[in-house]
Amino acid sequence: MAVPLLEAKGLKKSFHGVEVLHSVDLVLESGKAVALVGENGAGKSTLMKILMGEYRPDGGEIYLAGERIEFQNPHQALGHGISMIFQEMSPFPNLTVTENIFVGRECQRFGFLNKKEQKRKAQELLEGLGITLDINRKVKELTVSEIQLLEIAKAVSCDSKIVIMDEPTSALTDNEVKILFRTIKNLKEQGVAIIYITHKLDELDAVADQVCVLRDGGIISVRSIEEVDRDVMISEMVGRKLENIYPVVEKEIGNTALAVKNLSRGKEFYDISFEVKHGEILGIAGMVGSGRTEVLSALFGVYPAETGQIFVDGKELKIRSPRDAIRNRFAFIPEDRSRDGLNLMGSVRSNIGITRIGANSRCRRILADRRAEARCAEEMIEKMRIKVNDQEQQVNSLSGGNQQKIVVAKWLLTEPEIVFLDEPTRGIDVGAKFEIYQLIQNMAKEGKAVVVVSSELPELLGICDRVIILREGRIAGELDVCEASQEKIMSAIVNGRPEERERV
Amino acid sequence: MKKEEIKKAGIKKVISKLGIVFVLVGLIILWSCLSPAFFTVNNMLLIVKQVSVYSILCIGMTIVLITGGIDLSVGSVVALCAVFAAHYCAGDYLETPLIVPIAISILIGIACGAINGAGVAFARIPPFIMTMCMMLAARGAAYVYTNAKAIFNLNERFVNISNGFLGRTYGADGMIENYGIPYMVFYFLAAVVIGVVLLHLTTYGRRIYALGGNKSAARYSGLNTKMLEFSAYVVSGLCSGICGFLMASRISSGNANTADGYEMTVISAAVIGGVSLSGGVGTMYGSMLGVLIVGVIRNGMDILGINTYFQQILQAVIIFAAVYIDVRVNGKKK
Repeated sequence: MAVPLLEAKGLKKSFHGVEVLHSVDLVLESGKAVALVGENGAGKSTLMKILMGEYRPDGGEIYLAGERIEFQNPHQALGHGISMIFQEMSPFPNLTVTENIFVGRECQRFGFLNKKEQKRKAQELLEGLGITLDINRKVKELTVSEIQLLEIAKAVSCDSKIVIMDEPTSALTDNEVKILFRTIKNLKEQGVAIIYITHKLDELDAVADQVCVLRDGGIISVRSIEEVDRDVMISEMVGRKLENIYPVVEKEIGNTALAVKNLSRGKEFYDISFEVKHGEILGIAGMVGSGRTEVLSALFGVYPAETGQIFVDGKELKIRSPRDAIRNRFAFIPEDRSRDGLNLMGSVRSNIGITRIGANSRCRRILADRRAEARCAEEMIEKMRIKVNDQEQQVNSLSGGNQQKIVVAKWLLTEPEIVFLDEPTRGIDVGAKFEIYQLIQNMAKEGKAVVVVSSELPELLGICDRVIILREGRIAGELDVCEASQEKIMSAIVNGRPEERERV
Repeated sequence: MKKEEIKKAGIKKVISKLGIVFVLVGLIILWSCLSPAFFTVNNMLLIVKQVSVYSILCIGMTIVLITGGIDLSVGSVVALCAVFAAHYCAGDYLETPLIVPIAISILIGIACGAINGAGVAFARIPPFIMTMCMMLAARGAAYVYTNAKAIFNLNERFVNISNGFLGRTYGADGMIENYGIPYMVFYFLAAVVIGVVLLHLTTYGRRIYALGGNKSAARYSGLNTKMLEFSAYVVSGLCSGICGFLMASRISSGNANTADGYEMTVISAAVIGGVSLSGGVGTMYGSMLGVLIVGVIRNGMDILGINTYFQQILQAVIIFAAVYIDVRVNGKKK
């Protein structure tokens, strides 16, 4: 066999005296894709950051086409044809799509920027990949999924030999995922090697040639895709067997808790009406940009709706700010936890306590009661099994799953009656997903009305009682979960089927 | 092995938290070695007296910085408040009760802070720009009000507010028998206590940190972010208002060029104390230690008779070094 494109031997890395990678070996051949799976905190991101030159390994060697390399910084890795699409994307918000693609290697003529040439190349690139994006738009106006596609295009444009993708589909809709998979196939045919990190095991067949399971900083197994057995793989990932990823909970569905009538806001959504009962979990499906997040943000008062009515237990409410919503015992777990959910610089205690600053106090709410805060935090850490060293630890240093649990924890403390969750399992591992599902089910069991927005259809089918489908800001269908299937939902998302709506 | 490393990490943490104390102690030792006149009770009291105005301003500045803003107007607002305070306890108003100039000074401070706060929180003008406008306007207003002439001959009792001593006694020959403690020292102590309580023990302080850490998350969590942001500038204005009459009293005159450049001194003190200009990070203890460090640096250089212009250069070097060390020690966490 020829010399592999990339070979890593015995890579080790420690942080704060704790070894997070133990002697990891990895082999990559050109034209092949290796999928890297494992729970959050298994060391996937660390391993990739070493390959990208962001971290330097404490031990071990990396060979590129048989030659020993040591990168001091990501720029050198890029120079050697290794590029990475980060999970936490880092584009330049004030630059246009074109400028983002060519940042650091602008087209020049006589030392001046050649904008025309650059735009032409960008257009060509995007068309070649089948991505529709206006190249003149500023990145800050793009949606999460559009940014993801942009990043992929950018990586491809670098003429990379190795492309590392860290959960590239976590914010993409099914259609966009197809574009991505097509792109990956193209790349492989051109001899590019791909490292593909994912939590979505369904994707493996479409993408990977080899699957590599990482757990607790060590490689557990490497198999070619034909030999992969899903159940074995999952148990290897978590180190235990997961019986059923969607927990089943006995519960009772009561009276209507939340009724929304004819809600509209600008061009984002029109005439949205639905009901949620106590103890019911309602799913909202739809593409990114179909108005799912916008409807939730309107109900929670972040950007109030322009027209329409909101009833809770039959009483009409006016919700103009999140404060109004919280007063009426709403809770909202937002889509982007680092943007809207957490103070990453703050401690675990301060993040959990934020919704109860007023309650955890003495002397007419003037003095903060530190002991009560600590008690609250301790209770939630235990109840939700959040893995932290101590309450004063910075939230920044926790894994995605534990961060998400903290967001949920701070809302559970408000004892909400109506709970909105926007992409509650985005970017978290299988084990944490299961726990989040369990939490959602328990909320419903306690009689709370729950609304879940998700791009993952199996997830909606697994936990919801009913699913409504949004398309271009309108309700395009409503399905009971027993009659729903991924295909039915998908066709409503794509085509819109008003007759479904009328029937229900 | 592991335990030792954890222990090591723990020691590092302590050092990084106390680093600023070491800087202060180090400076005191350095100046003491260079001049015997430095480490005396009277000089220590003098330092505290000199920094007490900074410490009051630093309460407001720290809160504003933690929200992620900045207040460049404090020096100018102090000047505006000072000339008004001086006006209302001199000349025709010489016999006016002291509460009048004090109240006027405080109210003007609050008003300026409220304008800053409204501009930043409600009109969405960047804090740097908004408070820079206030800095220019307030300084200008102070000159217009006084016609660029200083107001002298203030009420004796008013002057005594900043220049008086507690427990000072005189002998029969009129000589000072007991030096006493300057009132300013008590103002400093009060500022430290009030500042620490306000930021670290109240629910208000918790909200300020939440706002500065992530404004969007704070809003989603039901905090009234606009009112909070507004309030931070009002607190800063209030502090400037208090310092306004204290300064007029201290220099026994109302002068439009009072407190020139104080905003930079206070900001650098806060930064030395570990407050981040991007918000969400810092403590009131740190800021107050920063104020003391600035005071010690200046006093030590004065005692050594270092030329004023050279002092500025040296001060820059020391601030740079303090922050650089802080960045190196705390930046490694990543």
